[in-house]
Amino acid sequence: MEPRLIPLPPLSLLGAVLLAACSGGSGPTSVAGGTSSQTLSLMQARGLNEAHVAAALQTYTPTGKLDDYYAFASGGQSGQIICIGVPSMRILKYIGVFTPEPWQGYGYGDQTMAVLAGGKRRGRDIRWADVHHPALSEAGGDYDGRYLFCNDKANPRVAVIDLRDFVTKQIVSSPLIESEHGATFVTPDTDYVIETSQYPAPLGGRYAPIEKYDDEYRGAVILWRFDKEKGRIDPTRSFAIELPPYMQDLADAGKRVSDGYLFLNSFNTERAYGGNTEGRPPLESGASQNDMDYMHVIDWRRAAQVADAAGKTTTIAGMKVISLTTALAEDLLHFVPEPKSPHGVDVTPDGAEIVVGGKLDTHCTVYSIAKIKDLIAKKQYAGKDPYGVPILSFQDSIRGQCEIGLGPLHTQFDDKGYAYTSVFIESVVAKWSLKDLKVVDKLDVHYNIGHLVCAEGDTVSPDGKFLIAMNKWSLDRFAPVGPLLPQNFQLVGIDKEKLELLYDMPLPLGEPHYAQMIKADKLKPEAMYQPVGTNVVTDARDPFFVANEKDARIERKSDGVHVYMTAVRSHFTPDTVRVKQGDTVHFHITCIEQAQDATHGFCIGSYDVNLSLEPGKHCNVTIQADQSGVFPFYCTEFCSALHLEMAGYFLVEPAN
Amino acid sequence: MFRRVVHPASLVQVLLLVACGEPVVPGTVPPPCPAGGTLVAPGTALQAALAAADDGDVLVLAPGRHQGPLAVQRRVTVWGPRDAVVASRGEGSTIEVRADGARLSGFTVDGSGARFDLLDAGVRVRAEDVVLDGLALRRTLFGILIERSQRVTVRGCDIVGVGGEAMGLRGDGIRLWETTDSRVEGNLVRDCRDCVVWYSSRNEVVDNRVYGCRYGTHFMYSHHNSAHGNRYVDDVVGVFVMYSHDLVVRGNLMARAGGAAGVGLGFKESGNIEVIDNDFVANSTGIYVDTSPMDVTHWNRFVGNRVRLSDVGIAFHSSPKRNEFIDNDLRDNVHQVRVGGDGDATRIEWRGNHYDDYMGYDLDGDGRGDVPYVLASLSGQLTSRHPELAFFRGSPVLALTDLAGHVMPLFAPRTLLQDLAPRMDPPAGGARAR
Repeated sequence: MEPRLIPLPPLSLLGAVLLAACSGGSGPTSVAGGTSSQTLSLMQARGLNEAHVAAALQTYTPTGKLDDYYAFASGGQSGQIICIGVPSMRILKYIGVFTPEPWQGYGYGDQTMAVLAGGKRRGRDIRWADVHHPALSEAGGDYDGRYLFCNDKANPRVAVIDLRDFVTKQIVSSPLIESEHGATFVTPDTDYVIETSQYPAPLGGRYAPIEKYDDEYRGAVILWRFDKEKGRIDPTRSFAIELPPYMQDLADAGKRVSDGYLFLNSFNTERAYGGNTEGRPPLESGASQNDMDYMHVIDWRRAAQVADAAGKTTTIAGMKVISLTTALAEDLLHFVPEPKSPHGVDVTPDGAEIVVGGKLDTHCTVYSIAKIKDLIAKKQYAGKDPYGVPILSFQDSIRGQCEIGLGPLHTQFDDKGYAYTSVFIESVVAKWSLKDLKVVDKLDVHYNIGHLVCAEGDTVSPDGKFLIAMNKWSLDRFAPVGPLLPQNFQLVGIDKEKLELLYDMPLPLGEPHYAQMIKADKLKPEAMYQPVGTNVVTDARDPFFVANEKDARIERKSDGVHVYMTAVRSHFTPDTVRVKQGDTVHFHITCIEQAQDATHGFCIGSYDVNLSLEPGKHCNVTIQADQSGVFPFYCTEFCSALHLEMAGYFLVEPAN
Repeated sequence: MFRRVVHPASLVQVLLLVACGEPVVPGTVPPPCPAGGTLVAPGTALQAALAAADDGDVLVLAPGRHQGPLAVQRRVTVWGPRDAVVASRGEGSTIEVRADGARLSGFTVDGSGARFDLLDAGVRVRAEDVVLDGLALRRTLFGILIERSQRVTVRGCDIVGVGGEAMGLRGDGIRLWETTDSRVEGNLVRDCRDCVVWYSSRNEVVDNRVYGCRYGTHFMYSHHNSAHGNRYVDDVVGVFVMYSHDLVVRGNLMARAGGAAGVGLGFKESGNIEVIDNDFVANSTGIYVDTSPMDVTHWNRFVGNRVRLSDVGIAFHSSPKRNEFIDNDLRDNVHQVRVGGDGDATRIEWRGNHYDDYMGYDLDGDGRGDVPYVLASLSGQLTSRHPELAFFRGSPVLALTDLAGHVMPLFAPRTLLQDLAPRMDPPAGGARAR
């Protein structure tokens, strides 16, 4: 055979390569021309290319410089919220929400234990949560930076976090439903926090055999009334709407032209309930039989009026419920078919359209609220579901579809008319034009992206700039840490024409489903608690607060021993506490510091006492001194050069 | 007795097939009339005849319009010529088959309801041992739905969907759901959305033509299936396999899968798949492999395939493991191989493939190049930002990259794959893409 030889490439090729590499839109302006030899050798040593350097320059945040955005990510099974600075992707704080968080002393004192007790289910303390969707409070459809809400899918609960001190103030839970997913989402002025059931069950915690699924099992959407002045949910003014036993999924509230409506996705309109050992298809298969499910369109403003009207509701497990029959009679609920197993139902910034992605579809479907309203007004129905819910025509409700790729899930928006959709099966982020319904760019992400979040990307005024792809798997992205791997947040720059991967951040604390990203300057966190003696749950001075060291004292009362204590660098007053075995002991400890970051801790070994005493904070903790002995207490938060000396003794004298 | 129908739209294929020596165009030749049937006049007689039928009866449809919807509750054979048309009333499914062993044959089903949420179909089967052969389906939202059934045969049917620009607004041509041991053979499917095999195992999809659809065949949670001898042309995706294992994909043509999502054959978290002797022609991406196989005991094998005229011949979402590529032919692709996530394909087996950009030599004349084929690449990030650099690949530029490496260390390319015994010429067998 004739040998084949390698032809030498023309020399001009090399020039073209260098030139092209050096004229990138966003990277260092010149590699050949300007980058120092030190940079080049660093790049060579670490195996970095020009794109890596460009990414680093957009994320690296030197000491003392602050991030532009806060991201609040759900902490998944940890039951917490993770606060992250963007673009540095530095973790700023874990916020204890549904589970005790020792560093913050959350769930270890009387006040925060009472908050956690709000989340008991059937009288039982729940020691974990499945946090999915945080939601920032809004005013006029824009983030106002005041509150954060989040949910627990497994044990239906909703929490309220105050962003003045990043502390969970309230947990509410309704026994009406046994699981949820479409939570939390807020109406544009945060009048209501939405919590929608996921797996149908008899409402109110009853039992009914699974064969009664069609008749006895139901879904429900709860609208928790939020009192913005008090910063708390008011369960007495909250209500729910009964829904057919489909699996309701994500939710979004309409805004601007769609204000007053609430949109819920659903799946399993087949009403499959598993039974793979009883001759029925497994649930996942049964729920994939049909071609479409139903987007629920709910007129929540009218529903709120109905809920207030006499005789229109029934009370189930303490919750005011608008029955399905009443909901239909009052024209509150309509269905629009949506592609199979939808996931995101995302209202566009102008409120005019709703984007739905189907996990098993290749398109995003763009619904028009004007068309939907028109069909509702004309009562023009394509049919009714088995429960009598009117179904609008799919074809007549949409503006069109955008071919995205395999498995579009969730969509957020920027300030330039683009939508960004996570594409699960392809593991990419797709950028597409809302106007033309055409994809303009795609970026590989690793791996199996779930939600994504853009800067203020679900509000009436998105910021653009950054996107975080929340990937379910990390596989080979990080140094291996055993079979349980962290998830991978990938920061993506979205300000330029091309999507640009900037940074990979491992998330090693539960599966963070969703996040919110807010401009940092919208938040006004307090540096310390004022006045001194603040109860962080009531946001007022605690009745047991101790104003200064002179007020510190120990009093024996009919209900036990009350220890009024102060903490200040670097001593507790009193530092000796004597009680008798069998006493009930009430510690009332005020941190009288008024210096930022001068936080103390208070612990008593073997008595499981652990408090965090930020400047100005007051904590109460009650224990039964059932074991005699000598128990040192000390400050657990390094506070000064004499921190180790900030200690004392809890002396429990034997009963006899 | 009946006219042999050849649709103008398939004339091109006819010519191609004639050239290939194949006898018939699938889906265009109705089966012969069975003996001993009872003639059913057009109109509403068919509904009454079905209601009155006993197991084993044969109903022969006279040409003309027979009013649907029909419910087949007995083990009957219903045969008709193509100009016997069972017409929809415009809602619901047109024919529902609930009787084991029933057979529908030859006639045309015209229309169905338009409700996606109710799965309005031309023919909807939930029974065992049902045969649908030589049917023509026109203007049906969904064509043929087979649900929770076993041993069903769908053979030689000609299905034309509602078409239109918006793929998402069409229904599926053929859908198997929770169906096993069935055979989908020699059908012609056009202008539908997908042909899907979901939660359905041990089925064969053979010698079908799927033209102008979205997914030519979509396997999901479906194991021990095979796709043989099918032709997928002008679809968005030829064959896509998700969450499935133990499949054979052999002797198919996947051509002109275009657009942003265009893929000839794609895998998502699937393993133990044999991909043998297929032609991938003029696709956006010829073969797409995403995290497959997943299971550490699984492998995927690609043997003797021809991948030509793609934007990207073979794309991996990230560095693949437990795949092997043997005796394949990669020619005329803009990019031979791409690996996402700054990864490479050096951990999998590449052996004896033919690469048209191989510029090595064969001094010993054994048909194998004497130096390895090495595909090198700048980082995916860099090439995505500078697509003009993407040609910077293959062994001919090794010298260049060496030079560039000296001059400008940033450009040191990474090895994407290495084949120690590249073929000098394409493997024997030749392309079936004609």
